[in-house]
Amino acid sequence: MKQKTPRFWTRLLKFFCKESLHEELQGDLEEVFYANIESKGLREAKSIYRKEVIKMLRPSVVKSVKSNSRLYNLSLFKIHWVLSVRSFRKNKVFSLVTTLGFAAAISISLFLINIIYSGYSLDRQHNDPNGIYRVATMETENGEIKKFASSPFELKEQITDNVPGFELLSHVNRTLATSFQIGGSAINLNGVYVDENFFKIFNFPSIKGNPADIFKDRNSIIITDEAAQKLFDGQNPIGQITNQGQVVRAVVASPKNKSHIPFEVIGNIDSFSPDLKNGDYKSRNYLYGRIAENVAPETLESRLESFPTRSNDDLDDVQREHSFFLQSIDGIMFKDGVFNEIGSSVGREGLIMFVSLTLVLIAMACFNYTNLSMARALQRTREVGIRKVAGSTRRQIIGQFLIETFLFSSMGFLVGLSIYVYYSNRISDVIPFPFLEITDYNIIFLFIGFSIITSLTAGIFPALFFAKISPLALFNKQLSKGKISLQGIRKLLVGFQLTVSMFMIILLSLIIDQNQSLRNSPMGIESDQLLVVSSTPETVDLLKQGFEKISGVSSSTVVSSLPVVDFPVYLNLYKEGMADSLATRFIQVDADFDKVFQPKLKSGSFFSPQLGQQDYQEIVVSSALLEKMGIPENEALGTLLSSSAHNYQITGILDQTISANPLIKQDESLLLINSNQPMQYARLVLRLEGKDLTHTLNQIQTEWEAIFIDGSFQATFLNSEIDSTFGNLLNAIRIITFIGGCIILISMLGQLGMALFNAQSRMKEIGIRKVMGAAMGRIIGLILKSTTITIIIAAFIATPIAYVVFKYAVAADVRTPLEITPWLLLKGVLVLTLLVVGVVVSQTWKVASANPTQSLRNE
Amino acid sequence: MKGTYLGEFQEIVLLTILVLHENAYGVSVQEEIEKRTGRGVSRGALHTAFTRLEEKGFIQSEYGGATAERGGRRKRFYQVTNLGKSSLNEAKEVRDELWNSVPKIALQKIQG
Repeated sequence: MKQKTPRFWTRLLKFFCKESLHEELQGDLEEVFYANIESKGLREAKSIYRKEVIKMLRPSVVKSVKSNSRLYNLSLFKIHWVLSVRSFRKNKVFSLVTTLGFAAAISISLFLINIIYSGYSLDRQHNDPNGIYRVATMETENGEIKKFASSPFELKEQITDNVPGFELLSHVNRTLATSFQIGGSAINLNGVYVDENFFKIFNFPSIKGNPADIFKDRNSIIITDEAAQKLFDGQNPIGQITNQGQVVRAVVASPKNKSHIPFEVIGNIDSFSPDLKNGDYKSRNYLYGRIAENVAPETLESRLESFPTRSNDDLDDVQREHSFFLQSIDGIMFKDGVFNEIGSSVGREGLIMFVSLTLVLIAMACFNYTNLSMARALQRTREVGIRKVAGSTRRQIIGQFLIETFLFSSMGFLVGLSIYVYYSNRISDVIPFPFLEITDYNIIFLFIGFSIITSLTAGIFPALFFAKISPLALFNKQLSKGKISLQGIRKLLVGFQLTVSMFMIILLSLIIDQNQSLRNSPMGIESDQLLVVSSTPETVDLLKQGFEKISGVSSSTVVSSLPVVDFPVYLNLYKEGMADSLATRFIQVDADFDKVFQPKLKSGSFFSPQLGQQDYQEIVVSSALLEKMGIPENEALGTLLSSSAHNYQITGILDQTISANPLIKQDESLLLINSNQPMQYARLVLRLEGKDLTHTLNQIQTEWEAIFIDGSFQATFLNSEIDSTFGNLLNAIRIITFIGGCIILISMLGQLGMALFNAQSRMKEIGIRKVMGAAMGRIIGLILKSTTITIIIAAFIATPIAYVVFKYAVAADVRTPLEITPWLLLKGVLVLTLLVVGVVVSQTWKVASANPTQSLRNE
Repeated sequence: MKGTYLGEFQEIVLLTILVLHENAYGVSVQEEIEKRTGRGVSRGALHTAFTRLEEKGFIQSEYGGATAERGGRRKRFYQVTNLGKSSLNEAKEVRDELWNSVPKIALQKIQG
């Protein structure tokens, strides 16, 4: 027979069927099965077979469970409970260590579970949430694919005209900023500009007024209930007027923990400054739509793929294409990372990290428990032996140990839950993720289920272990006769814990050092006193002229992207006689660049003020670029380079590379091009001088508002942009440090328990050694010996893993990867070793310094 | 145990075993019932009927030889016991008597 019966179902039948009936029934089913293959085909035969097996589930066929139920009644449960509580109280240190370990692991896991659960429960309140999609942009630049959550403004119109399949489409532009004058100070609100389809696609319940009213004119806004509470506590928010002259028409429920679109205020897209509508897909403009009922998302996506995109009005040299794709809003927090996300996002990698951290934490706490309870096996084996001799079954012993574990883990759960409840309100305001409150019933069920699973996982191994020991062997004290070697498993678990801790501590120290070195690395520019003013490519020259008249502004320049903060674009550069082009990032600048950013030159000069006289553009390069292109530095000045569209002449060599965003790898070849090509994304940067900054800022605002009549002025200092660039990194580092610290703490607790146990169980041995004249140092050394071996093994395993993870995962994308010296790796190992040795010595000390007669006096 | 009462399906199973005579085992009974009544029967349901009938002492069974198409497993052949046969007869008599007592006019189909 070639075809076999479906394996699973055959096994299932064997599992539940009475043995005396199995031969007959299996034989009959099999006979029919083979007959059916001939007559009805394999698929049908399998399906019939499945159904037949399921229909076998009837009392006359199913094995009766050997009923212990009469034995395992309530009173026995009570006895088990009493025993557990007794052992809990008898071993205070053990109980404390286990409970704290569980508590630390569970409280952090609860936070992580909440974030994951909250993330997945976002955007469920809309009608047909599964039909809502975001149209996002995929950019291909030099073969590198980048995804952007945002899309160009005019995309909505183009899709409405050319791509059928959407029932509704809505603009969501996240640049709305407005403020209310409350008391003496202005309170800012941020939000989105939307069109009238927004409320047809999304459901944000209206609390006061009619949200649709804002689309009647350009001066109406909606605020959220949260903002209304914050601003006009108790007063009627309807009719309130902002500093910009907008009138509140309605109040809707806040999107916090409900939707991935963050807003405090909603405005009409028509009131959105028309100049800003030309922004490309890198601006904060998004397109959401609901797909018509009979259209499959895949069909629509393929229509979008073949949808002709706007031609590039960037520099022609840039090899960049873009296309559009659909993103379901279901679980959008955890989708593959996209740039320019509308709100907070964790991303696929973040999710994997969260889940694996939770698992590691829980595993560590479970190992602690497993370890410690098995370490106490010698004490308990007699107890188990007596119970077995007295007639307890295997099932009952397993039951008792599971109850005991459950007691420990639920104590841990309670402590962990208290920590969680205590901190959850504080944390929900700080972390940038949705975070549901504890009152959500589903979350509570999730938590309880989680703690039960944890206790079962932690308890099953010791329970099985105890149940397996035969009573005779117990009295014999010969434990390691069976297959499981107690010592072996314990060593393995301790080793694993130490390895994970070692890995965490090395990785953490590397990450912290990396961040330090990024922060301290030279930027190549003077970033103090620089102000970045919002502008558009069309108005930037006009603005610049206006600002230069202000006395507090010493100079101003227009750049295509900000140094240190932005991600500049690529250019393919050729040199005559060179076979291959070099793809390098560049910033397009004007002739005033050096006055504002004040970089230092090694040789040559900056740009000449007159532009367009020559048939080439002037560039300033770094030594690294010259090296890559094989141009000797002394011959570099005046060298001509070219791209597919332009010729360039090197006029200067930078003393220090100007850096781009810290997450860009190898940007040392960044070059500056002096060109009057139209820019797609112009940033206007001013160098301020003088003492009276406030006055200067006011003048700048007045000047700005003269040009953007109904826009709102936005300006930030470059230093604060740089700070926030590093701040994002810093937040991530803080979270990782915290969790890593907890992992290390848990395993230290485990070490503490083990050390204590070791010292106590070897009390007599130590006593004899002391009587025989052993010195204190020798005794401690003896106990430390096995710990030291474990640490060395852990270091040998963990160091290379940490090295590889750091080099290829953490530091793979940063500008200047940390140079990993043996000392850096050793630092973590040393710290952990000191911790462990400290813990062990502190526990051993007491025993070793005790008077040996105390321990030897009585048996 | 439900005493010696013979259910309708159990009666059909008993009769089918008699029809098949020497060759009455799970698969053949299942097929025969399907063929004769047009009623699909699961092997599990049949098993329950066999169990009940065996409990009441109406049938007895013994293993036959192993066959290849059953993965080398033996068939279990069923036979109707004397008790089973008399119970069948009893059931038939009850029915016949009922049939005989039905007035002819009652069997006429109502027009319209």
